[in-house]
Amino acid sequence: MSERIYLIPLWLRIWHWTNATLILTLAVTGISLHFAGSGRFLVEFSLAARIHDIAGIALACAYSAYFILNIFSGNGLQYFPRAPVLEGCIRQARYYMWGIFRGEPHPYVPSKEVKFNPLQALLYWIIMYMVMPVVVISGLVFFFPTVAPDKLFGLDGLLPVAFLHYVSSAAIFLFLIGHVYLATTGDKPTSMLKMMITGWHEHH
Amino acid sequence: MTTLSAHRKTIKKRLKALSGWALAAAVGLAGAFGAQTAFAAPAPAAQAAHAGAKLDNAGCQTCHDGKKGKLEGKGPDGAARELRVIENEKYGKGVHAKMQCVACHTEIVDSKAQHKINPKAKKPDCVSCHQDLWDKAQKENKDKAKPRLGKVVESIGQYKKSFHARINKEDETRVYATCTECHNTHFFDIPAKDTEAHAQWRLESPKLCGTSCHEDQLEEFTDSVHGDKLASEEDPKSATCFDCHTAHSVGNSSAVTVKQTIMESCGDCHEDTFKSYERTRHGKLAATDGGQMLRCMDCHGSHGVFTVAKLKDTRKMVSQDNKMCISCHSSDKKYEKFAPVKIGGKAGEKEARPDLDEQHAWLPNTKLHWQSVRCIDCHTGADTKDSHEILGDKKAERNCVSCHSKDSSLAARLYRHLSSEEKQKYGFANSIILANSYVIGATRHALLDTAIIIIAALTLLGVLGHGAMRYISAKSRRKNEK
Repeated sequence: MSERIYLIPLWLRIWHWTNATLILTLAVTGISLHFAGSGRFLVEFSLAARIHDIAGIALACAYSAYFILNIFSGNGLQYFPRAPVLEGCIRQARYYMWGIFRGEPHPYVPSKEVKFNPLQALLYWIIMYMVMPVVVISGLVFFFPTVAPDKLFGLDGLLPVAFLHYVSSAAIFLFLIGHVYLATTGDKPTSMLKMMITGWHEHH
Repeated sequence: MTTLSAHRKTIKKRLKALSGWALAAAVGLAGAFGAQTAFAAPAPAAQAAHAGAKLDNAGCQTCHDGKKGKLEGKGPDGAARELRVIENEKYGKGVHAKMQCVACHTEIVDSKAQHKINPKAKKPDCVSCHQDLWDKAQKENKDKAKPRLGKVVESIGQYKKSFHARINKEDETRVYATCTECHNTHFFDIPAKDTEAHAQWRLESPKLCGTSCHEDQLEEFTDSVHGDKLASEEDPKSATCFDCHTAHSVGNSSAVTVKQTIMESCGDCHEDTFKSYERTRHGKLAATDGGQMLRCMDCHGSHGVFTVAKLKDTRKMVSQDNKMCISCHSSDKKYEKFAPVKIGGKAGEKEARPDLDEQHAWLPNTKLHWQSVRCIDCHTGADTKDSHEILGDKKAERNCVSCHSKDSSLAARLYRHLSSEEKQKYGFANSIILANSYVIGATRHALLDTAIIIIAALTLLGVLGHGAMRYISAKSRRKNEK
């Protein structure tokens, strides 16, 4: 007997896949720009620069929409870690490192009230509310370089901005690897993917 | 309208009339020996020295050697002034050392302080004296033995046609400059070429033109790459005034022919640069008749030729260099002035000015590029020999990666002027570039890059390993269930 609940509203699914597409585009073009001249598999520089600019603006818009809709829909509250944070995270981490191989059930079953497991909520909260603003704002500074200090420690003042942009985007890229993989840990490897398309969560 | 030859005739006539004045004034002795000059009675000691002095150089030196205390005379305006002094040692080193003072100062007829003046005496002048000497040498077949005399006459001929020999518009009683305003008659001692003394003299030579007549130009020149080399580096090979303007054929520098001559003289020293310039559209325009054309000085200025290396700040370098290009390429008026004809086009066909923004539409962040790199960093080859071979839109650098990479060619272009500075500051590749501009791809931190690549690889390996273990454990569970 399976339980079926409508978990992901349409706007959130549209944002999710838009965000995913943009982040993938930005990662490919960003790597091509940063490591320019290091390999033939990279996107041609001026093309990468243009795509990165456009996708960056689009990401900033999508993020703003996501941020605002999260406030109005109340979805934003889902990301804030719930007590006891540490205990919940350890329980979930134990499942990924041990229980999952033994066929144990998921320690936290999603519901309309609590969609995410504690580890998921904490990571999403860090990435979406702490890292994403850094990558978006530092990216926008590149469009208005005069905002950055002229010089810092004898180097161009854009360097700290570039550093933050690089490190925060690398963090998002690492998250992306883990996120895509953990998306296969549903009842079936494709269950969660299906949920992100239809919005319905099925639990056996 | 006065023709050039008619104007020259007028000048010639006036010059003849003024030639006497010219020499007397410039010799610098007008006050001392000049006509109508009456000396005040010298001090008794000096008066005593006069008694019995001959009218030879030694006799003149009894008063004019500057060693007899303070002697005063009266100037043409009647006011007391110091007696002119001729330093015997300096005079002895000059080309006129063997001449008697009175050979030129023919109006002086006695050796007494009051100096009787012969009002009918012919006033001396450089031109007639040197012409006579040369004519005499030729007549006596000694011209080959005295080539310098011929050279002086040739120089005089050039001078007569020069801008300096024209009537001064501000004071029509004189010409712009006479021989003696550049050549000191008493100490005429321009050292022979290829000698140490000549090299030393070249270092000081800009002051000759600049100190009393061309002050503004001297000021600009002193700060220029040429002036700086002469003054700071004491490099006598650096250009001085007459290397471009010539010594005697100094022309009106706004005249097209003079500009052309000056431009060619740039090539005498800057051979490779000039050759690379000649190959460009700019060079081809300069070789085409019909307009102002684009010559070295149109971009570099004339006296204030600056080198970017001196600026030490790439933003200033970029601003200075790009101003030259953009000022013409963004103005229809200036563009037409310098490119009045289309190279390879039909007669009278004009070259249309391409729109800079349209031409650079392919370049992301165009304006930012224009503020951060020089036009020539893309529009010339990386070889400094070709630094003036401006490449058109089809041949210019379009490969972004040539700058935006670890082996950035910016280091060999704009930043080569700063190459003496530290290159690996704080572990950044091309930190010398980073000191001025963050250039994506070029200003990377090797350690940070490696760390991020390793973490990403470990994450990927981790999830793949986790997936493999999940697969194996699920398979084993299913097997056990069966």
